[in-house]
Amino acid sequence: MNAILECKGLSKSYGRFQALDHVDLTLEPGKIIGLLGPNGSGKTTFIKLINQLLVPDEGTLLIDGNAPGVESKSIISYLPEKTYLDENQKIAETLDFFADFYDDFDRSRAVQMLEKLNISPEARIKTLSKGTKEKVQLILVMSRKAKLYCLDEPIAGVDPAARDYILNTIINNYDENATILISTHLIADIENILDEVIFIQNGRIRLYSDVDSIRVNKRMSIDGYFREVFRC
Amino acid sequence: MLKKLFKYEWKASSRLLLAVYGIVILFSILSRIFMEVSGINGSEEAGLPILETIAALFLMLSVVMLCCSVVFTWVFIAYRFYKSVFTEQGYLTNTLPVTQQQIIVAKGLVGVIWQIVNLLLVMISFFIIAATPKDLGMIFRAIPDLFKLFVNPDIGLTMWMILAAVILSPFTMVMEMYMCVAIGNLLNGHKVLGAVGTYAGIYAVQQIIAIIVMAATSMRFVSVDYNTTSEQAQGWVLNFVNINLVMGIVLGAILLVVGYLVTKHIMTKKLNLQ
Repeated sequence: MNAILECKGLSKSYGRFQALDHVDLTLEPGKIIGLLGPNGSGKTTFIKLINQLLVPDEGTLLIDGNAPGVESKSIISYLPEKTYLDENQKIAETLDFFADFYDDFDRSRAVQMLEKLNISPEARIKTLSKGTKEKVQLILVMSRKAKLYCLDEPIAGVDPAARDYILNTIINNYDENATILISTHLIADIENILDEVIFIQNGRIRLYSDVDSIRVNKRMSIDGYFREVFRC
Repeated sequence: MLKKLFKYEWKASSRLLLAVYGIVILFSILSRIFMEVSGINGSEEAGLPILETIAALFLMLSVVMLCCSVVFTWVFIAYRFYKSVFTEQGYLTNTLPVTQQQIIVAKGLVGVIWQIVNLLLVMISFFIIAATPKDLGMIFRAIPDLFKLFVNPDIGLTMWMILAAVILSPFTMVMEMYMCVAIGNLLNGHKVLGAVGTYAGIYAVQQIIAIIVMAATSMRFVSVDYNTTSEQAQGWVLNFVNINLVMGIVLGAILLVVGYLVTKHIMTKKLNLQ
C-alpha cells in the first residue's frame, strides 16, 4: 500500500531555533496516529508543513505521492489550533463554503452532527461560545471523507465532557482507509483510540511505534511511557 | 475554483460596503430634499432659515460621508485581504485546494470592482445632491463630443493614455495594498503598522519619482517667451502631459506586476501565521 505521508530529511528553523531537524518518517494509511511531544517540540510545525502553511528549509515531503499543493490540500482535512471560521457567516453558510470547496464534504453528516448537539445551522458564528465554535469546526473537518486528517491539539482547550464528544466524533467518522494524525500533549485522554504513536522532541522523532508494542514490551500505558521518555 | 473564491469574497465584503454606500445615498437624498424644501439651491423662493441650516448641515455631512466612503473602501479592501489571508482565518483560506494565484486574483478582482462601484457612488451622489435635468441633458449631449476626442489627431493619443491610466489605477492600487499587507505580515508583531509603513514608503518613492519626472519634463517651459507661438506652447504642454502619462502608466504597470509577485512569494514561501 502506498504511504499516505512520506518525508525525508525534513527540516525547518525559525531563525536560530531548529523546529524540525532532519525528520524521516513514513506513515501508512488506515491508522490513528498520535503525534506526541511536549510544548515546542515541533508538532505544530510538522502539521503546518504538511498543510503548506510553512515551507521546509530542507528535505522532501510527499502526501499520497504529491508535494504539498492543491492536490494534497484536497485530500487533507485540517483542524488547526485556531478558530479559522468567518465570524460573520452563519453556520449554514460555512457548510455551503465547505461543500463548494471540498468534493469530499458530506453535508448531511455535518447537519446530523449539529442536530445532535442542538446547534442551529442558522446561528451566526460570532454568537457561539468558544467551545461551540471548536465543536462546529471539528464537525466540519470530520464531515469530510478525507484521506488524511490532521488534528492539531483538538482537545486542548475544552472541558472533559466536550473531550469525550470530540473523541467519539473522531472514532465514529473514521473511515478505515483514512489516516488520522492527532497532535497533543494530553495523552491519557486519547491513548485508547490510537493505533500508533510518534514521540517528537526538539524537532526530532524519538520514537515511532505501534501502541500495542509499547504496552506489551514496556508494560506501561502510552501516557506512562511518555512521562518516562520525556522526564525533565 | 476562481469563481467560487470570487463568490465568497464578494459576499463577505458586500454586507458592510453596501450598508455604508446605502447610508451615503440616503444622506445625499436627504440633502437634496432639504435643499429643495429650503430653497437653498435657488430653485425655489427662500425658505425658513432653520431649513436652510439643516440643508447645509446635511450637505456637509453628505460630502464628509462620501469622502469617508472612499477611504473606507480602500482600507476595507486591504483589511479583507489581511483578515482572510494572514490572521486566524488564513488557516482556512491557505489550506483550501486552490493556488495562491487564484486567491490573489479572486480577492483582487473583488477589490477592483468595489473601487469602481465606489467611483459610481461618488458620481451618483453628486447627481442626487446637485444635478438638475438641464445639467444631465448637457452631460449626455457632451458624451459624443468626448468620444470624438479619442479620434482627434492632436489629443487622441493623450485621451487613450488617460483611459489606460484610469483603467490601470484600481488594479495597481489594490495590488499595492496587498503587497503592503503581505510585507507587514513578515514582521512578528505590529503587522498592521508594518503594512501602513510600507504603504507610506512606497507612496513617498512614487511621489519623488513623479516630481523628478515632472521637473525634468517641464524644463522646456523655462524657454517660453514672447516669440513662442500658441501652437508651440500647446504642443509643449501636450508633450509634457503625454510624457507624464506614459511614466504614470509604466510605473503603475511595474507596481502592479511587482505587487503581485511579492504578494504571491510571501503567501507561498513566507506565510507567517501566528
